[in-house]
Amino acid sequence: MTRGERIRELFDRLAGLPEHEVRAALTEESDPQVREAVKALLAADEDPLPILAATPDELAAAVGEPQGPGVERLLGTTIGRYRIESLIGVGGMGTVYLAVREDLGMKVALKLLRGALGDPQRVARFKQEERVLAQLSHPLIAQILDAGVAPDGTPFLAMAYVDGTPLTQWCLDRGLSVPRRLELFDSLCEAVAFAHKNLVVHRDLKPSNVMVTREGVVSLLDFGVAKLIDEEIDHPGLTHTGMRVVSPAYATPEQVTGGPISTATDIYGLGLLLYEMLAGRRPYARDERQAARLFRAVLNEEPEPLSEAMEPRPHAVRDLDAICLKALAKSPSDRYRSVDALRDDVRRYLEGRPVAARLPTRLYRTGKFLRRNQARVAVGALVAALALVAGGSAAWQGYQTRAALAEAQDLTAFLVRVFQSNDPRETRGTDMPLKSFLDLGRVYVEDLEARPELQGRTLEVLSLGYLEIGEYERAEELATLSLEKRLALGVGHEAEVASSLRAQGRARLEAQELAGAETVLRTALALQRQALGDDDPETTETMLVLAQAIRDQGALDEAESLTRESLSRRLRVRRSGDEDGIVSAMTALARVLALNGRTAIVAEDLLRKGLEIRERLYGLDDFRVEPSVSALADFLDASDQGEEAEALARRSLALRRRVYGEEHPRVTAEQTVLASTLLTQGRAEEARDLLRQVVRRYEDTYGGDHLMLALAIEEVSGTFLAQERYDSAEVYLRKAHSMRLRLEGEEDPDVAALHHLLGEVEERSGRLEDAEASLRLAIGQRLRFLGPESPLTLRSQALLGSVLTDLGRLDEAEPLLRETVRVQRQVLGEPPTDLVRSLGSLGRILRLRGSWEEAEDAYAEALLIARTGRSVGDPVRVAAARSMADFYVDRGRPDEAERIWREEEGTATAAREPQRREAVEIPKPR
Amino acid sequence: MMEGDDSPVTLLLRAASDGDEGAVGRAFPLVYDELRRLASLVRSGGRASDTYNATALVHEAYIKLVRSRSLTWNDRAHFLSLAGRAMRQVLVDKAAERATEKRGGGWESVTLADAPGSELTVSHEEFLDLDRALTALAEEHPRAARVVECRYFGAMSSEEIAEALAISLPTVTRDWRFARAWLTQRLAR
Repeated sequence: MTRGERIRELFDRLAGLPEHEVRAALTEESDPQVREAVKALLAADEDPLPILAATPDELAAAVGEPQGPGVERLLGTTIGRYRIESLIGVGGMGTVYLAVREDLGMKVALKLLRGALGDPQRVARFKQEERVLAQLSHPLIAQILDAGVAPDGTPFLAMAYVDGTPLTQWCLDRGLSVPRRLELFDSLCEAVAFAHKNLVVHRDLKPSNVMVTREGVVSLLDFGVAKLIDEEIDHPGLTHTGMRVVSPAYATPEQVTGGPISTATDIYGLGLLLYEMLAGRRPYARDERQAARLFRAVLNEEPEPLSEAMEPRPHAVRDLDAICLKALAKSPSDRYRSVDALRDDVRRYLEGRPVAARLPTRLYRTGKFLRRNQARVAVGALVAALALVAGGSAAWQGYQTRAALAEAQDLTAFLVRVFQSNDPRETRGTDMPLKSFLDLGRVYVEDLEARPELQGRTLEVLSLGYLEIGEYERAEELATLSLEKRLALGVGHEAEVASSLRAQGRARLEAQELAGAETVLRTALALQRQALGDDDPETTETMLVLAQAIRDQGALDEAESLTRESLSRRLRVRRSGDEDGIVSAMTALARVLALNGRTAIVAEDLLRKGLEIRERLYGLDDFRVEPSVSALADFLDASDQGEEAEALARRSLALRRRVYGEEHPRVTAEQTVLASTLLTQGRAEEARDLLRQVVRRYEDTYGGDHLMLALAIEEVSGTFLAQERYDSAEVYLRKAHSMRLRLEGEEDPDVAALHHLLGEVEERSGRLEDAEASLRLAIGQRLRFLGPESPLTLRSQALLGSVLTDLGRLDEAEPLLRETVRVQRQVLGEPPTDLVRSLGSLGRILRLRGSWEEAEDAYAEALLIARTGRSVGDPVRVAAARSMADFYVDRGRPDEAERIWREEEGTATAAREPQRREAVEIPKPR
Repeated sequence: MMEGDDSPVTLLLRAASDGDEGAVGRAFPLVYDELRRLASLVRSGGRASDTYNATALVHEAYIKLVRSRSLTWNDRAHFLSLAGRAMRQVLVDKAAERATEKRGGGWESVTLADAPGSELTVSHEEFLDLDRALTALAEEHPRAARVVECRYFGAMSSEEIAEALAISLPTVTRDWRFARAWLTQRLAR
């Protein structure tokens, strides 16, 4: 240890200790130099130099900005027609003096702007801008009167002199009531709206720019001046960016990130002012001297609710919260669309009407209506209130509907039990017991008119029940009824309303009305975030349902982030008994990751863990394990692990049959998955037999176009494709394709998949130009929906490369294939089949070009990958072997070809026949 | 995500956090120039205003130079520590200028009475002495000197310093206490 280190160690140990302990410790120190040094340091620690206590601002003020003749030197002098009288202030833009226009004897505020304008062209632009501002004539805007450039190049502006107090200070000084503050704010808005209509944005709204005169009139200073400085002085030539030097405390998100400045910037500024006027402080509870934190808050954090910042809380403070939040939205597009919209909402608040910033649900309007018309609806409100109170009271149950009530409660309990377990006694007592029970419930529920809360809940449960038996329309109908009942309950029932909305969303989701589902689910989620908080299990559940609706419409990134949010919240607040919820979120995440195509290993891991947890929780044979079983089956099938996928699909199917019976759509859906796993394993005939049943069942169920039907038809075509029966394949494919187009239109990720499949069929039938066109369509859409690294995009590209090779356009094909192989090698979780296939295509083109060594490498790599994890006889493996062997035969090395086939011992001789081409073609829909 | 929008400083900061040690050195002049430019924009000083002070300078430099949503919290801390170093240099240059002017033009030393809650007086010479003492501290106890720079010139909180220098919070506190004592006894000589 060096002496310096020893000194440091002793100091750290002794600083702050009582003197006798210090002395004792120091006497033990043998080195007198160390001893003395530590003593000196400890003495200094007791009494540090005052300069070391200075804050950075004090330091800068002391060093950089002395009180000097700089300010005073101008006093009494004349600039243009203005005689400078006294200093008003110094700001980021420059120095402001009180001056007198000599010819008129008029008082003005003369603003000497920082920076200098040397160039005459810039002077001209400056004056031109100024003329625009000078035309902004409004009683509440301090008018710009004149502009010029002093002899030393300093630009200056003369504006009307306002002798007033900053707005926020005014409110504080006078202790104004909330309505009075809002009226002041309203006139401020009026001025800003006027400027916006004249295409001028303020850009720098803050208390020191909003004055209130002694007469109580608002006056806005410096309108548009910020832009003048940004664009004409600081950064000539730069326009429309938020690069201005702002006071950090009043920075907007777009100013922090350098985004475009627009009227929305002023809306944010108004939001800041409103917040400060009401709360007496700015919205982020941060030490504003810590730059990084403040900016982080501006970009990422919600303002502290006014309800917490205001004391005492005004009436309907959450409305004010909502108004501020909307004005202070991070993204300009989420804010009020205009100042007038903001003004309207403030006025609505003042008049006791519902504000637009809160969710425009009927529930809300109802609640507001009650308050606004208190006198007239008093009787009605009393009855409603009684009903709410009575909802929980036993006395009410003595009323005439008691029997019906008791049964309805039993019904609820029953349904909950049914869906949580698979006890056959509860579901298989009679034929379709569930359905009859639900139908019965629908009758009973009408008797609950007098207990709207219970009625709403029962209707929701019934809706979920009908969803379970596959009657989506009825499910939606009951969810809607439930929603109406709950909306009528009034304020304070947001959580129940959200719950009904979610039931509606689920019904639409199951019926594949995705956009409609999304709309109601978004509302439900927003309500729950507000009413229950982000971490509530109900809220995180809605996140998952919404994520699914978004996911199925192809917005995978948003779906992924919402799913992640749900999962991480559930993990964070986990309580015992929440494991199942966590598994649901894990499963959802795995699905969306798999679809997003980049993290297959993570996805598989999540699914396996989820299954494990549920098996541990419920046992192997419990229906609650089923969601994990089917999810894993689906996933493994898509990643070519057909054998295990088949076993899981059969397990899922058995569980579903036991609970739902044979004819339920969910049973049919799982049969489709099972068929797909068979096809994955090359068992095309078996798969087709099963799929024909599926198609028949769906035709019975839906009677016409339906997504599930289209999917099944598509799978049928896949079975033909696998057997190289291209004509039949194409017939089914076109049928599926036109049904999908009718259902969803051209812009849909699944339609892209169909384009790809058509391309594949056309290629097989030798219609290469058609194939090229179809594949280019598929690639274009997949690039848009999925991006360049998606396995699906890559798959389409690989096939196009092969088609181009066939067309003899080697110069186009080679770079495409090389790039595809390169990315496929990189992308984690790429299903190896695709890489085998691309490498085969690449090998072929290299062979055609005579690049023998490279071609051999490509084939060898393909075969190596194909053999990994595949048993002898697997079609992918056989195809890769055939390509390699073909190549050797072609190159006059039959011994090596023979060696390849020896290693594939057991493969049928017919399969060894050289193929038309080497590309490994394993059809894999979607 | 928005890499195309990133400014040179952002990219350099990122390179620095990826271990490119030269990147900080290349970023320094950019930050220094911007701070100096911003500081000189206030042509004639008056009382402390609501928009111009050291903290605001650093904030403004941040806005101007970094402008990125994609920076991590850690990158921001690094920026601030860099800005602290640059700010120190800016102030030293200014103080040196002023001290020269004073010798020639007889300016008064500066009172900080305007700064709220402070009765502090600092002469430019004193400030320059402090800077020299800090340089000496850096030779013996480099980390403690960095802490001073961050805290004193960069307006950083202890948490931010801990993040930027990758040390623990108690270490920041200890370093500051030690540096303060060390500088005091050095300047008192």
